[in-house]
Amino acid sequence: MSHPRMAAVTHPLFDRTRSIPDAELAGSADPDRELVVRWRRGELDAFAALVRRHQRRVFGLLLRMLGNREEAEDATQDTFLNLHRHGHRFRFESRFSTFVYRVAVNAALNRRRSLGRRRSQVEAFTEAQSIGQLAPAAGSDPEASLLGDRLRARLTSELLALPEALRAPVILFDIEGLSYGEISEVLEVAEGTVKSRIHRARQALRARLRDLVAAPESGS
Amino acid sequence: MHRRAARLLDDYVSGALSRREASRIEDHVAVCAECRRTLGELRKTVELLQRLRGGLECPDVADAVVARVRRGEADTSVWDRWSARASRFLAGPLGAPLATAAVGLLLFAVLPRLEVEISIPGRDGSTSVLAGPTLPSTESAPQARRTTSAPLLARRVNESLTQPPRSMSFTCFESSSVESCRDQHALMTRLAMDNVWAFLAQIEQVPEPRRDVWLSGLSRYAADAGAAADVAARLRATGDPRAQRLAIRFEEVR
Repeated sequence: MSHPRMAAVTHPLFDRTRSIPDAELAGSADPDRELVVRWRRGELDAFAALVRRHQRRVFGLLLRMLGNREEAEDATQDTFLNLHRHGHRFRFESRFSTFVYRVAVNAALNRRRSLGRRRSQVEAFTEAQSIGQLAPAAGSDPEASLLGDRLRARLTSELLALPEALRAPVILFDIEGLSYGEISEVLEVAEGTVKSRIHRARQALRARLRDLVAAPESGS
Repeated sequence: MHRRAARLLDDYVSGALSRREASRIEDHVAVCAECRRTLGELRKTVELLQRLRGGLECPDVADAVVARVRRGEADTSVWDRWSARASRFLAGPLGAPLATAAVGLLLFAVLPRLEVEISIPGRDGSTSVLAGPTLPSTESAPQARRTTSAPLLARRVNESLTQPPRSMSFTCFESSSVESCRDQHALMTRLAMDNVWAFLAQIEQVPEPRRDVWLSGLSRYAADAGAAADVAARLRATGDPRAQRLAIRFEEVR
């Protein structure tokens, strides 16, 4: 600990909590275990490595939750600052990545709350428009004309139109690939609730994306 | 089977069904056009969502985050530390009994001692709003909603002899009717005057410094309310010398 400022920064997080016995961590197969243990010992390099490992998924989740690139980037930073601040609460009872997602979802909700729903939606719309046209092109095969950025923009905007309670579960399940159990831990709701929210979100999206997902009428 | 299958299609797409259940769904879908169409749309919806995986230009925030951590931005505040300790304590064995005791103390020892002073929306300062049980006129009531008047005494005086009054607004909302505003005003006025009389009946018990505060307030209300004569008579009936002097002054004014 060469620099006094380093000591001031790294000590409080670890001093005020019970240190986790190595035995408690021994059985864990979490790929982040080693870095987390080093981070808990006060190694900021290990924390930086954890940030690099998870920032892409966190940013992706936040971009889809918030719909605005700048907000998502700020919220990503907030997520990792909160993670450093409250990291002592992580007990390896779940995967570290699940814990990170939980902190990220909370950061997104806090950010939306502080910004106000209306402003976020306006910005989200602007953001989606900046990626590409939202509406499908008329008079052409819808799917073929909406490939790439335009399709992403359309999907992003439809996701943003979902109620907040439905958006996070469907993003975490269908895009981030988490299991029902993991989502239940991230959102701190029962697994049955997760399933039902995903079901409702998919129904809503299916209705909104009908022009893309509906099968052509037979015989036409 | 159709309704059950329709309900399970989502789980089928998610791969959350047992092999047996999945095969029953497949059998049903083979013969049910509606479920076949729904299943196709659901699959397509999920495939579209999965196209959002990856492909993002992600900023590298690690350096910025570590710099902010070094600046102390991730340190917990004193409040956070105390609230975390408080949460841990409340979750512990002593938390529930102590919280119960605190609530009991609040209910039985603190709240009964609180005094409330109420402002009644009335006319402007020069006009009386405390006319005892008299109601404000219908014409003045709408205007009264936007202005506040001198404060009134309220709540039980005998419960709160030693504490100074605290301010609380009585407001008629724009949405409430003139009649209901007048009724509320009348009720609050009556309560306030009841407490004035209660106060005067117990003035001897009020500590000297507190009496002055109440009496000066009282004289203002009485003058504003046009209830000076009534108040003067009651002041005279007390044994307090200052109240006697006030009574004489009221009578002179009258």
